[in-house]
Amino acid sequence: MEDLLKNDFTAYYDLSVCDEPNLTIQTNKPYFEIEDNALIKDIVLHTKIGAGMARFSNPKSATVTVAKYEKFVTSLPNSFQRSRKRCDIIVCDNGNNLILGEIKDSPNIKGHRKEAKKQLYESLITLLAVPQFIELTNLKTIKRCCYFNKQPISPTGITATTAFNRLPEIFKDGFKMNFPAIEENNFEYWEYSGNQTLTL
Amino acid sequence: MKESIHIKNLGPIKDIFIDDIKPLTVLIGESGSGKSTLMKVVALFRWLYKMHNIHSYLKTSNVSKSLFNFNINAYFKNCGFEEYLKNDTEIIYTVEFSDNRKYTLHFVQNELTGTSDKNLIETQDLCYNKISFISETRNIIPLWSERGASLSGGYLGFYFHEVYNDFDLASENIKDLDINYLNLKLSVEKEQSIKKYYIQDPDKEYKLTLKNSSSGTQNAIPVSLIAEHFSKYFDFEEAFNRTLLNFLSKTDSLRDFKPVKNLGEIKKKLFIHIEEPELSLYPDAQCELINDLISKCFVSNKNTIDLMFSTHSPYIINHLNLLIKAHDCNKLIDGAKIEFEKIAVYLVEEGEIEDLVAKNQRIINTNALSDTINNIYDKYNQLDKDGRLIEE
Repeated sequence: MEDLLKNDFTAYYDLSVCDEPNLTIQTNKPYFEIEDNALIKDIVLHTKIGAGMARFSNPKSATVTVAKYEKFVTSLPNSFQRSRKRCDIIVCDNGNNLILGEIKDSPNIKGHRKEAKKQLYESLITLLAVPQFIELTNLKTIKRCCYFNKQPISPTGITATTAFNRLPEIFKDGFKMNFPAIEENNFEYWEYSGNQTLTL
Repeated sequence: MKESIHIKNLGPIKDIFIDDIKPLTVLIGESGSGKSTLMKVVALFRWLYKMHNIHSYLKTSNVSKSLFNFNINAYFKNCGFEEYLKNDTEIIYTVEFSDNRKYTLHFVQNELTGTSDKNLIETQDLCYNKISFISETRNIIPLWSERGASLSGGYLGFYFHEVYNDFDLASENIKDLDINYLNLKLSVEKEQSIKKYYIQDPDKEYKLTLKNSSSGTQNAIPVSLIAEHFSKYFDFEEAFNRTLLNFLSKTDSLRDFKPVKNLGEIKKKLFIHIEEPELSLYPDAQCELINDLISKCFVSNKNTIDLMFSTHSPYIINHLNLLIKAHDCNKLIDGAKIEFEKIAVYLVEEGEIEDLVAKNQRIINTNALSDTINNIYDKYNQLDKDGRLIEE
């Protein structure tokens, strides 16, 4: 994935080769979470429950590569970046999964969803223009654009938020939602909130 | 029959496309987001399509005289759309039957097409529909029913008089109605040829005129009464014959009329649209009102009904998940259940819609509807005991 972004992607868009270090993280942990850390402005992997924003279960302990797509695009020349929306991450394993992800830590799902969908869609279109990315998609059977939103913590003793947020407790696997523009490109659009976990 | 609607640039609506309007369609969103505009457009175009059906029926029944002159600007005025129309406003309403037989009403550049003699509906596709719009002005009904009769020429707007007419018609057929979700009974009594509406508790300990009942009761009673009427008592034949006679006598075409089809052979459907059925009700009663509505429209109904309503209530949307599961388990919740395939829920936001039906589960994704409560406690957590904002 790192090679695809640094070399193939840049070559396709006629950009100089990207020399940004640490663009990918690898793991084979059976459970991990991904955090978009605003302080250090970087993507961080956690294995502690609740430490991240996007939850992943990796029961087969597959080798998973998390590419920091936003960080990658941000490292490219301004002329390329300008008004080009980008999602946070690309998650790819050595099995069938290829995931584009936008991650938020906000009580406001509604407010961010619209923007997240635009980011995911435009990232997908930008990536699908690159022949080597198309080749990668052809190898994968599970192709998703995902909006992950961490659920905020309630004050002790208040059950209202717990009550309102019960749906993700019942359906742990996330929700596949309607997004024809993404579906036309053979990807699916999924939403994950609170404890909902993407199983690879 | 599959209906679709595409609206571009009308008031708060930027671009809304619904490819297949489901029998139960629910719209949730902030005030001013475009819910009511969307519902009013759907109701108007369903009515135009109904009139085009009657037009087609008469034309193919040997009535050659010109019968209809669709004045779209007058209809838009009734809907309150004069200030909403823009140069690039476009509305496309399509009804599609099997074998790709399709009828389209198209409004663009201030002109409506699809209703002329060139676009007549084939005999096999003819249908007779009744369209009802229960507006949020229904809370004036109790007062109007008592005082309105004495105010000749009084006009409270198109939608009020539409809902009032339906309410009046419903109370001709229904004299007593149990409103179980409010633990009340409505009775209609005639006093000196004027109808009086009373609310009683089941133990008959008190009896109030409807206008003196609670605001929740005054808002809910018209919804339940009209839904009950259309569900079980609406007489298509009488309504159809009245409409036909009206047009035939107006154009002096009664002698020419040779019906191409009897009403019995024509498809019939009722379309009910309701603005905020939950108005002034406590959340428990909101859910019970929805049970009552769903039961009347989809469980105990004698007539085929499509229901569309707008709401501000996350309780109602979450409650629909219970009714979907009830259907899957073949269980009734206060007489109600709803088939997952028959329901659509849209979040209307900034002039566009977001489909909330999950595709991998038989569920409405209500996560975003918890934003308000999450926001409240997020802000609560951010304040320290002295009321200062805690920096993250």
